[in-house]
Amino acid sequence: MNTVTAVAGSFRDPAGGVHRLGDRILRTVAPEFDADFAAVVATGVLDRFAEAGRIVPFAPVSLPPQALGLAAGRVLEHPRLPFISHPYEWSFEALRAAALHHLDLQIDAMADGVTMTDASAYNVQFVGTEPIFIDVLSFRPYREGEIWAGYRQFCEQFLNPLLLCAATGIMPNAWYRGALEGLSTADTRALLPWRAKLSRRVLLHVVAHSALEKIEPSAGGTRRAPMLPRASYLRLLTDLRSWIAGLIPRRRRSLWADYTGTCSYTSAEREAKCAEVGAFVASLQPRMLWDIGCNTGEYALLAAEVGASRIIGWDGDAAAVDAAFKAARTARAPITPLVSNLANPSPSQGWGQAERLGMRERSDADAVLALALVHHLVFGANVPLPQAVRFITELAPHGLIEFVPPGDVQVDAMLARRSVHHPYDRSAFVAALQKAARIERSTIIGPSGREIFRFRRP
Amino acid sequence: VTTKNSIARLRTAALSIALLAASTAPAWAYLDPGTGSMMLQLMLGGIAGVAVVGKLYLRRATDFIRQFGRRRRNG
Repeated sequence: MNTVTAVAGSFRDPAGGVHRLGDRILRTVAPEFDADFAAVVATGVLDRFAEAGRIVPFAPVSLPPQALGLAAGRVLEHPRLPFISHPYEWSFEALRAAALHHLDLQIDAMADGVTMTDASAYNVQFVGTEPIFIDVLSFRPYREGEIWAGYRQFCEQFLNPLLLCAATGIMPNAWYRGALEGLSTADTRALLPWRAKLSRRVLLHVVAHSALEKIEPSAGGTRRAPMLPRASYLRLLTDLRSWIAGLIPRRRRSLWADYTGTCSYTSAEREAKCAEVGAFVASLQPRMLWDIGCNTGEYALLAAEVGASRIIGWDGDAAAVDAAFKAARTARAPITPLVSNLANPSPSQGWGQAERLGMRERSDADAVLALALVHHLVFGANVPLPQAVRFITELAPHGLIEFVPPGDVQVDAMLARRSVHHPYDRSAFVAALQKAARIERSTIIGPSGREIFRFRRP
Repeated sequence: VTTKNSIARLRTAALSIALLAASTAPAWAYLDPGTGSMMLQLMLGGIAGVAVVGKLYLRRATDFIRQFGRRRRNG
């Protein structure tokens, strides 16, 4: 018998919550918000959005609300998304796509007299590189003259991280991971160079905004709600939209984004590697494949072509992930490339250390690719070889691991710069892999002895 | 949009900013919109209002000048 569990990240919303019943995703609508939700549904805007794939579809279920710990109200069911990612794992282009998606929904909903209660970036998810909005209870009827309640949240979770990257070239991911609610406007103001502050929009949305935030509201006083004309509300949304659409990320040199162009592979080596990856993915037809150390997505794109239904790519280099995101979007491939340092993967964190699940806690991959990654973990992060191998084999029951032996230019270059206090050679690697899984096949792909191992976990 | 309306809107915005310094978040929002963020939006609304009024006055002025020119040519 399946039991109902509340999804840890959904406790904040008073309008309802998300629950898991086995593989099913259920959403409750609290009775006091039912009228608002019914009014939104009656406009037909949610059906239109769902049909276009812009929001996650929903359907009423006949489950009594009491089964989900609710005295009354209604229960909806959503299809399960392939993967839940967090905004601090998105590259610039993904965060931009999510921001524009949010604004477009809000702008379009206004035509039906519907607005949104918040602007949480966590309510946007990706299917491949297509953003999809997951919180149908964020929509409620627009009240004439109301202000945009989610404006500050939008700035902190979308605008400020994007601006930081556009104005300074600093990738916001590490900071965002630590400050789950986003980058404060005061901090963003302190960081932006004076040149950036010459822009009218930066002056308004960052400089003036942060100055006004310092004003303390006095306690008590009138409860009269402030008025913002509807046209001004819409103009605020459309102006932010055109600003964000035109932002250009300031590029700093990235070793890995240029890697495919400058890397040490010969074309024969690359062909052999492609053949191994292609044969593995084609024979397994994984429903979910993880490509860890995905770089610019070259092998993820190949895997998508030969039959992987969904692919999550991971890499610590945000510029390389950004290139992978653009390539996957152009190819319309079912790949979601995400930013995370593999020696320090996204942890389970937030309230109760369960609000935003960690990388491993979200893994339901049936196959993993770890190409030219192990030597980076061993030399770059001083991870002992057996631990690096176990980390990979624990992610999925099937996988490919590329081993780059001493003597290869890449490994020798890394060895020249540091001493290694863990054994690193082919026999140590094979012993480690045999301990963690069964080696099904191994193929040497290059003259330096680079070798791809196919494993299966017992 | 008439000039009167725009002026009324500006007045509302100014009044709202004044009221806001002493007000709390509207009761329907579970998210704290932040006083500063609210004031900024009203400013933006106000600036938009100023732009509308400015445009209207500009049009009036150009209409007047055109009319004046036409009268002189006809006269």
